[in-house]
Order: sequence, then C-alpha cells, then structure tokens
Amino acid sequence: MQDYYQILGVPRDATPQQIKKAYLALVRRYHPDVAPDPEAHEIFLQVQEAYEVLSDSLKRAEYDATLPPEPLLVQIGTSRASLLRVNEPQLVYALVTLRPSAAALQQKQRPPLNMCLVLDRSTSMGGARLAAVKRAAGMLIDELRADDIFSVVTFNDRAEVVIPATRGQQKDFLRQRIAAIDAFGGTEIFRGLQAAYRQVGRFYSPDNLNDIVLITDGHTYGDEEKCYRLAEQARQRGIVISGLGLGSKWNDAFLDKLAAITGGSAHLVTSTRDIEAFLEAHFRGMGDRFAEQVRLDFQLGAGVELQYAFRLTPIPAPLALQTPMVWGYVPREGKLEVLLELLVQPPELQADTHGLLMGHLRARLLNGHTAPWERPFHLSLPLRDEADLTSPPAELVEAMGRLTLYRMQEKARADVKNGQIDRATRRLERLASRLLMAGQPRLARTVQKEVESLRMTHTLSEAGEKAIKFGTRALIAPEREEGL
Amino acid sequence: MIRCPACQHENYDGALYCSECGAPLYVPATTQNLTVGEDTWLPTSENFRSEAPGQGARIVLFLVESGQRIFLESGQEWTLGRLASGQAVVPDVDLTAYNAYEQGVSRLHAALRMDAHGRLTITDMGSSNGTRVNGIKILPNTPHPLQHGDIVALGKLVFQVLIQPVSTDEGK
Repeated sequence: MQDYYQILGVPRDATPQQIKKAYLALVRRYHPDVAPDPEAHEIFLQVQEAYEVLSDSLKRAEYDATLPPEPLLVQIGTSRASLLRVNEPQLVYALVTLRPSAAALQQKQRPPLNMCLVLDRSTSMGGARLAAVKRAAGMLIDELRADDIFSVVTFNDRAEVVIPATRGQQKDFLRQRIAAIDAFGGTEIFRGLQAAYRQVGRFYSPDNLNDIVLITDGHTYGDEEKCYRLAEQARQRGIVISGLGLGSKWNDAFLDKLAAITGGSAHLVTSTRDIEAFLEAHFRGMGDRFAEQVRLDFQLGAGVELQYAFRLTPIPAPLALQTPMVWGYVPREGKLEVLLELLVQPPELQADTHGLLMGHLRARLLNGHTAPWERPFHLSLPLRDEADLTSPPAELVEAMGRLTLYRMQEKARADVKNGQIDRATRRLERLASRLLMAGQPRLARTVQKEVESLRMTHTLSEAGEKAIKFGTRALIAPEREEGL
Repeated sequence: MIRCPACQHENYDGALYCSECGAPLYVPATTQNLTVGEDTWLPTSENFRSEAPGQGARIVLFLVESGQRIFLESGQEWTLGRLASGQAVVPDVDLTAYNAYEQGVSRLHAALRMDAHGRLTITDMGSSNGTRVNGIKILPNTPHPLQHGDIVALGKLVFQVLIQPVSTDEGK
C-alpha cells in the first residue's frame, strides 16, 4: 500500500509548491478526459485523495503523524539558492547526506556475509606480503559466523579456488587451505575476479551482504575492460567489489574505477602490518551497515553536466559518473555523504526555474529484515536576475575545501600524463603550500619530493603519486574535531 | 566568471575554490570595522621595515589563504576572535568573515599589543586550538614578540603580520 507521498511521487518534506506541481502533472496524465480506462481512473481517484490531504497543512500534519517514521533521513544542501539569469555557465555543488533516523535503529544483527577474498599470488607477492595476507585471512576466518558464506580465490596467470563458497566450514580446514598458498607467476586480475564472481554467485541471495575483496600488488595488462564489464554485472546484483593495493606497483586508477562501479572503494597499504587492520575494518564495516546499495538513478536537466561525484563519508572514494550511480552504504552510526558538482550551461533565460537533476534514490535497508527503500530526488533552482547573496552551507564549503586538495593532485597527475610538466609542477607546489597551511607537513614534504622528481625526471614516482592520492583522500573524512 | 585573487585563473560562476590553485573563492560579506584590501599576492618585503615599528607604523594582517588584508587602523591593542551570539566580551577584530569558525578560531583567541617602545607582541588568550608563530605553538597568556613577516596561525587561520610605516615616517 502506497502512502500519499508515494502516490504523488514527492518526498515527505516536499514543499506545498512541489506537491501542487506533482499533482497537476498526474492529473494531466490520468484525468478521465485523457485516460478513459478504468485503471487510470483508479489512479486518478487515489491522486485526488492524496492531494486533498497533502494540500491542506492541517490535514497533512495529522496524516504525517500516522505514518511510520522515515527510516532514512535525506538532506540536500546546495552551494547557491538560485541561478543567475546570465549567458554563461555556472557551477552548482550539492551535498547529500543520508543518515538513519533514530526511530528506525533497532536490530544490530547483520545479515549473513557472502564474501570472497581474491588474493594475488604472483611472484612479487612472495615473502612478507603473502605471509601478512595469510595472517589477515586467518583473522577473518576467526570472526566468521556460522551462517556466513566464505570463499577464497587466488590468481596469478590463472585462477584457483582455494576455498569454495560454503556455509559453516570447519575453521581448521579453512586455515590449512590458506596456509598452503604460495607465490608464483604473473598478475591477471580478470581471472581472479571472474572466479570470485562465480563463487559469490553460488550462494547468491539479495538478502546476503555480497562482497568481493581483491588484494593485489601488481598491474594487470589488457584485461581492464573485461574487469569493468564484470564489475557492471556485479553491480546489477548488488555485489560490492573493494580493492587493496600493496606497495607502489599496482594500478590505482584501475582499482578506483573498478570499485566505483559497484560502490566499493580502493585502498593503499604501504606496510604489510596494515593489511590485517584493513580487513578488520572492512569486516567491522559490514556489521555496521544500516542500509546498503544506496544508488541514485538520475536524468540531468537540459544543458546540465555532472562533472564530479565523490563520497566523503563513510569511506572517501570517487563515484562513477553513470546512472545508476552506486553510493555505497549508510553506516548505523554516522552518515553517508556525497558531493556532486554540476555545470549548468546558460539556462533558458525566460524560465522561472531550471531542473538540474531528476531521479530516485534507492537503497536496501538492513534494519532487522531487508527491505527496499526509495525516495524521489529532485534538484532544481530558481532563476534570478541578481546575484544570490545567501551563504552556502558551512559543511559544504568545508567539504569542498578538503576535496579541492585531492582534486589538485588528480589534476597534476593528468597534467603529467598530457606532458604538461610545468603545469603539473606549479600545481604540486601550490598543493604543498596548501597542505602546510592545513597542518599536514609530512604530506606536504611528500608532495615537495615529487616536485623535485618532476623537475629532474619529468615523471612522478609510483610510490609518491599513490602516497599523495591516498594521503589527500584520507584528509577528506577527518575525525571530527572536538568543540571549538 | 570569477577571477582567482591568487593565480588569476578564470573560474566558472559559482565555484567555491579555484580549480587551478585551490584558493578559496567564496568570501562571506565583511564586517564594517575592517577594511579589506585587494592584494593579489604576498607583498614584497622592501616596502616594509623590518626593525621595531615605532609609533608611526600600522599593522596589516595578510590572510594567506584568501589573499585579503586586514588593516588595524588605530590603537595599541587589538583582540582577535570571532563574534558569536550571546557573547559578553567582543573581540576588536572579528574574524568570522574569514571562516574563523571553520578554522578553529576561538571567540577570544589572541591579543596583539604595541608597547610604548613600539614593539609588537601577541598573547594567546587561552584559546581552544592554540596560536602558532612561525609554526611554533606559543604559551597561553604569555606575550610573544612579533616581527614584520612573521606567520601567525590562530587554530588553522593563517596570516602574515606586516608592519607598514605610515607615509610621514618614510625617508627617516
């Protein structure tokens, strides 16, 4: 049974204008004069009933009190309250926050995991790296619940299923299988991913937390596109792929993109000690989810370009600029926060408002039972002749400030790729001084070292560029400072 | 289009930070007790004296992040902080307009004083996030000498202290 808001297709906090607009649009479609069939008539009556209540503020308040509480609270802040009626492109930033409503937080038990570890066992992984990965896998096995499904795939030039997906395995048996892994051969990530996808597929259920974790230390060659296609398939089934890169010789752009397609994230580990910490945090994160597979299905308004999308919390990561755009999960404690950058080409000057982005936010709630959730998501701004003097929300300005450092690094790398060494050098110098101002002397020194490297060799070091990327990314979701 | 005050890059209208150099472009409206200069980059030091400023000097706070200047026009003592509602003691220089809150500036953060001999000092007034001079945290409630060109950070708000001779003082 749909509630009145769902019937009109508006969010619960819709303004009276939004409600009226949605109502009129539906009337035009379902009025007996234009749609004579009985089904349309039924809808028309529902729409009338909904509008009668929601258009009256008293009746609406009474009705609201009877509704079950919204499980997820959505907040949208934009950097400006209006667009200028001028003939030039304008930027709009939107900060979208999702958090569980207090009333909806009940059960703590997470759904069963259906998790596959994909481990690179190429020659370069030999020694300390593989030993650390095995130790971390052992820790994970200790934490598994009896109803969790767990599998392990290793790969070099080919893939091997070390632990096939099963529920409630003997933990001793799992540990023995892990211990027997040795390092040999090259790195072909697609083979590993494909085998992992099959393992997760064996016990696939939308009611599990379906998860693939790829751990690698090398580049894969020529199979990137195949990997992306597999990730796309995974996304459609709600399987999340995350990646962990060890050392400096892996392809961070590839792993970022792969993870972004499914709403996962890529991480850098420079010390083998951190592998265990990563897997533990990842595992803990699985138990901390209030909603998962949060995604935005959207259409852009005329002349609007989605330039950038980034998840700020819980785990900072770039998002894929496609629809649906998978945002990841909403933690039980804390929030999911996403920043969108929209470039609006000169709007229709006569119009009153300009639609920027229209669509739906969808998610799966994990509150005791799993349930689909959905909410209309509309972003539009009025057009004005005078400049907008309202200040943008402080959180948005602050978040953009942190994201700006990360993006300077991205642009410098793009400059290097395009052979614009001077430009890249200048950018990194500025980044270094901004980092100093932000109280990050260590990271600033790393950047300074890369500036030297650029001057001498016209390239960035593989270790340095990753340290800067993941270093500036880590600044995006800092621990909240205590009261100022 | 918005021109970046730091690097002159042309940014789209609505940009909050310069896409080229990362300088903040969004500056909230300023308060009336301050004059804001339109400098584009750190002034060269030759225009300024480096010794003790003397009576005929004026103090300029050059905000590194935004490239703006705050002129401390008259007086011997200026408290720096930010104005919040319901506040009993009001700072002489309200830094709210320079993102003071976000940068961790306390309501009454520090005081600048010019003594009878024309020496400038800064005193941290027990702020939450501390005061740094040239990167080194100073003790609270203890005056710390300042020289032309020193970099001061209130929390994360960074400015350079410029001691500018007034025109009558020139040629001495």
